[in-house]
Amino acid sequence: VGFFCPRKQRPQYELYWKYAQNIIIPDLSDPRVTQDLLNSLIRMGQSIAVGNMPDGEEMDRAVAAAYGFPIHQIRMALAPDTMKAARAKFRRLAERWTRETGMLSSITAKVKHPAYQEIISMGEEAVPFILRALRQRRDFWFEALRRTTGENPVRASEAKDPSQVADAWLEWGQEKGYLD
Amino acid sequence: MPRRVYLPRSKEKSFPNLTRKDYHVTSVDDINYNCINFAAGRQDAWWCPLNPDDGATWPDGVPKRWDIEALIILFNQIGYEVCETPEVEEGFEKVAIYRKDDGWPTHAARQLSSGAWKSKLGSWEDIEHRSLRCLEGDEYGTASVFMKRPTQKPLESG
Repeated sequence: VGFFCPRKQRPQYELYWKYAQNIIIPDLSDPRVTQDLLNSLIRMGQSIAVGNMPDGEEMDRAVAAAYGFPIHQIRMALAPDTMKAARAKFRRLAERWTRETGMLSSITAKVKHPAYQEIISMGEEAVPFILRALRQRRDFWFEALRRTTGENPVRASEAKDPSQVADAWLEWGQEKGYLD
Repeated sequence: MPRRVYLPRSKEKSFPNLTRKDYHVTSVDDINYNCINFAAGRQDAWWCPLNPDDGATWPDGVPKRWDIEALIILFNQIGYEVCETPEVEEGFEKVAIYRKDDGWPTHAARQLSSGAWKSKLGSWEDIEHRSLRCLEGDEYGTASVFMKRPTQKPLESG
């Protein structure tokens, strides 16, 4: 909606009603929008108003949460080419990892593989792809999930059983909106 | 006679000495147990010493290391002793441990009464293979440590 204003001699947003009415505004009165999220949005809005752009990642997450969509769906909508490229990269690396380490019994050797490490270096972007791969075929994606999310939803009582570890991560993925 | 099942070609490529006249698949793929646990006659845990957050466990009393010495201690604990050869010996059951040239252990297999072997291939399927050589190569190295114990139960016929 970039618009150059000849009077102000600078770009502006066209916020005429005929344009703005097509923008779906999130319902911030929805009980799923927490007070913390509201405070975060207010703080970012105030920051923008005085010319300081907030951290893009933080803003994306807050906006996604306000709309009630998983962050990766927002990214897919806003930057489909980037997400498609990330998905293709993940598939290529995951296929190589499975092909070259599937026969190994040492988990340490599996996770040290360069393709696995490259998936970890993709960061949070890789999380939905890892979870979908795990749902499709159980494998030792747990180290990658811990490293890319900074979380570990596995209870001590589940930690000695690979299937239960997988179930815990898949449940976490659904709760966080990464999986349908 | 039931039709024999084989690994997908993509997996067979990992084992150049594995030909379809020498092996067949005996299970689906599974991450709930690995080759060490399977060679010990079980199918109930992924035995790996250093990955407690990944669903792996390691038998009590065995040093928490992934090396040949620790694996020998592990099999000692369930009655196996190191022996010279992988040949069938009446009254004994055997396991074989594969390792790379640098000593890194990669795999374990257990013997059937026929002299054939059964292996769980990492996260992949179990197979029955005619010889230890079938799985030797770049991935598993060579079968180089053999252990035996008095037969605990009638050996599975192969």
